[in-house]
Amino acid sequence: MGENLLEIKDYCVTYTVDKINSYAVNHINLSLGKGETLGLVGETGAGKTTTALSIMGLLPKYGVKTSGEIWFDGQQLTGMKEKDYRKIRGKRISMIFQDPMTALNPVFRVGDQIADVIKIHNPKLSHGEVGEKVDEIMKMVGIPPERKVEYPHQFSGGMRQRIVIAIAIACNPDLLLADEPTTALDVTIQAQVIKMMKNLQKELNSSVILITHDLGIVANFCDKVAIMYGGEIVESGTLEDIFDKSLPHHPYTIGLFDSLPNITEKTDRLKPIKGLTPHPSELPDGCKFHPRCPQCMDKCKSGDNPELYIDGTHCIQCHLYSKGDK
Amino acid sequence: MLKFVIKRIIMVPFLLLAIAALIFFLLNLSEADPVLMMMPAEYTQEDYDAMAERFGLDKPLPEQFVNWVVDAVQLDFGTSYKSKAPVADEILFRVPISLQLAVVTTVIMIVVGVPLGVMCAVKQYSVFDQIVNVLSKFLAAIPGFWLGLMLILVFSVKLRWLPSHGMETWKSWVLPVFTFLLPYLGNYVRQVRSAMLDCIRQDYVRTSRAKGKKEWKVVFIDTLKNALLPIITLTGGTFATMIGGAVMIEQVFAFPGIGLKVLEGINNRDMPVILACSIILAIFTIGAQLIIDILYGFIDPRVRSTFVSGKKKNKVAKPAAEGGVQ
Amino acid sequence: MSKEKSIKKQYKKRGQMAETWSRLKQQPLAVVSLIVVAFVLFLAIFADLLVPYSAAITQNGMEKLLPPFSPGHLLGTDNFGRDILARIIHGARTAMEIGLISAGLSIVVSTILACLCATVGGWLDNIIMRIVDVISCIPQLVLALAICSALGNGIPQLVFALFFTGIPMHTKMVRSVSLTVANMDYVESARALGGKKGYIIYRHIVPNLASVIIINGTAQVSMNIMMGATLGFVGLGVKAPTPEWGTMLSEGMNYMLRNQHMVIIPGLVLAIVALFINSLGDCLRDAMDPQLKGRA
Repeated sequence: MGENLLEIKDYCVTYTVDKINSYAVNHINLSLGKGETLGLVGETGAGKTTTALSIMGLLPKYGVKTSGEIWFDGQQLTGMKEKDYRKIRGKRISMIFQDPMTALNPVFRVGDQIADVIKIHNPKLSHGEVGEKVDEIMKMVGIPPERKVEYPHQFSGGMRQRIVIAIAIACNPDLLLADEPTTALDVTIQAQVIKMMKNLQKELNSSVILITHDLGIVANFCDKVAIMYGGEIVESGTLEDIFDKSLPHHPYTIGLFDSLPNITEKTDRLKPIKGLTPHPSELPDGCKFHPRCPQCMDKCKSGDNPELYIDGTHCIQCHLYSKGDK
Repeated sequence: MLKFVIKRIIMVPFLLLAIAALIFFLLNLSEADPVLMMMPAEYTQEDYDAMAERFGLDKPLPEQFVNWVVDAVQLDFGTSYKSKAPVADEILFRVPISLQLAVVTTVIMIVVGVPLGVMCAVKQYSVFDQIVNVLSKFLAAIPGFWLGLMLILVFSVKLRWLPSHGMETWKSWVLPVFTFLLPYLGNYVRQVRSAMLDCIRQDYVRTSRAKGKKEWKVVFIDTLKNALLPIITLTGGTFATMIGGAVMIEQVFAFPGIGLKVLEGINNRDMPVILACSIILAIFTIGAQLIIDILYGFIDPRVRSTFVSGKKKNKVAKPAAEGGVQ
Repeated sequence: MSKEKSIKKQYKKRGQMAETWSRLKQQPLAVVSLIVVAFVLFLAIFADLLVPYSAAITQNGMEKLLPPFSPGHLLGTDNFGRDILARIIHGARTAMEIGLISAGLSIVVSTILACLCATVGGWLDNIIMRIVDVISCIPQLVLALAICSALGNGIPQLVFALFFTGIPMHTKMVRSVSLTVANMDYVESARALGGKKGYIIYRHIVPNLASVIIINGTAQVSMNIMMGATLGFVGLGVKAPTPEWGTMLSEGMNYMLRNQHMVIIPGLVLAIVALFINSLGDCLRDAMDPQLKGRA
């Protein structure tokens, strides 16, 4: 692939509210090549959305501290001037938001909301040309163009999500961030939307970061997977690296897979991961997962993060596999 | 929508009738005999009866009221007890004066208050926000009539820049408008700010930013259009309160509007004058409310579609339902 | 067992009021406002002990229109030679009587009306709300003026006028809050769990109403004090010699050109009292509903 499209290096985000620090994202490293799809998996509060918003440069302005670097196509995004950033947002990187019920502005026609992003990035287009493009994009996401004069409240959830997607792909972005695009939808609609996104991705050859907690969707959609826990990427690799049960895995990954129902085995009870996700303001010392880890050792409970175990494309952050033990 | 407005307009006469009845019977709670008040120091029983008959006060109260209503419909508001002149002549020419004062003040309030409130919301918790917050609390606590006196003291008596009363030149409007404006402006700015805050945290604002829109457009177009509904409501509410408050302003600045007349009527226990003025002030209030309702429909597509006629509603709703299961 | 107990102890429910109080104590502005309001209340209650009432109404031809800081008259005297400080202190009593009683009455009555609307509903709700609509179409001040002029001057009449004009707004507000709360999911779930009507009202509706009532009540007190002074200013309201801030202002207006202290002092006092009651109300709202903090 050569040069990576997106490169995140040692990136951290800390929120401060009422003098309490929340460590939302801690020292993550990620890279993504052109046309690749990455699944970012984790529980609520693991820092997935914060990561996506960081790439968009849309973190709240106040009470947020960041460190580390984000590189996009040879440009450094962190610390970029707002004026330059705006030219990238919506045109080269765009985002599909989680809840289609609230992501659309209720007082503007959906066609205008799609046209908006086209006009911003192609100011020279005439009114008619913009209209044609809107029609074209609406057809792409499977909505009859006649409906562009309607308002968001006249659409169902699945249709609204298609419009959100239409807004995101309107300028053929190089990188698409999909933040749980299907969580708020019915299961049948989920499948439709994922299928549509897959086709669009092939057509446009965009890179995609798909944020989700649904491993099924990841298996269906992604080339690469990164598993987040407590603001860290605890395991990453290709789809095969993660889904192959014969390879070593982070205990959290094992727990994630065990908590899914398995169609080939008959089990009376699912095996949930014990305990709760820690709040980002109260992350434990040592390995962030150790209070819930079934294979917890003394050295997990304090000190720095475990070293990375690296096997080709596969990385695991766990003491179980650190060199000392092997 | 049209149906809704017509319904509201049909309600207006009934509302006015009820208001008139309320005021009429309230005023008649007074033990003072209006006929007696109009008589010279020495009079005969015949003079008394003649006076009572001339003003229709010899009839029982309900009949008096019915007579008043029948006349009022023909824009005859009876005869003033004090001046013995038709009330309509004394009052109708004052309507535009009072209306002008209230409208000018409201317009200035919107022009100054909305941008200030929006700025405060955008820069929440900043020094600017806090200064405006403290200032507006001070303004809200100052009694309007006292503020008027103080302004007269400074600008008319000490500095001699502006006239303290009358309405000859534009200069004489400055003090009344400011006195009128300032106590309401504080609350208005704070409420605009909170309406904006409600909207600015919504997901669709983030969507707008993600399109790469300029920040001022995100705030003043995408967000403000959503915040307009509560802002319109509170503008109308403030306007209604101001109509009442005008009484004091007109008193302090000897401004020949409805308010001054109603006070004159109250001091003289001149019932026809009080009744007519109250009705006119109530018409202002109801009119403001009606305008708000109509504006609501124009701005919010959700309100608009709730009130479209049944046929059209089905047409809109059907494709939406189909789209959901597609 | 013991562990369970300690957990229970740790989570022992503190009353809503205790919770509010502990949050209120942490806001410096709230403490200052409370002290100021308490001070005004103290003046109002112990006015007679501080300055005899006679000092506030006794006219003294020798000491007319003394400026502030005159010997024996800290805030000077008015056109009848009455001590302004004494009139301010006794005026505080008048203002508090008017503000507290009228606001208290209108809140009690309108809460009852609103609860009737919300629980009985139907025709009763319809009738009450239509009447409220009618009253709220008349500007509040004009209605109060009309009532005062019909009933004549005096504190009870004034209190009645303010009480009556305060009803519509509060009734609307309490009714809408109780209807909103009654339709909330948590009330639904309480009902699904088999909660009795009385339990739901006590446990869910009352606590939600309490904050609205207290916050609005505070605002109503300062509004009514202001309105009372306004009525006093135009010559309605209290009877002549009774010390009242609005009346003091209107008397001072005639001497405004030479003796400004007669208008400046009562107006300033009125503004300060209103300011601190308002800010106490704002702090109360923040303390009762931390989610709303920093909003309005």
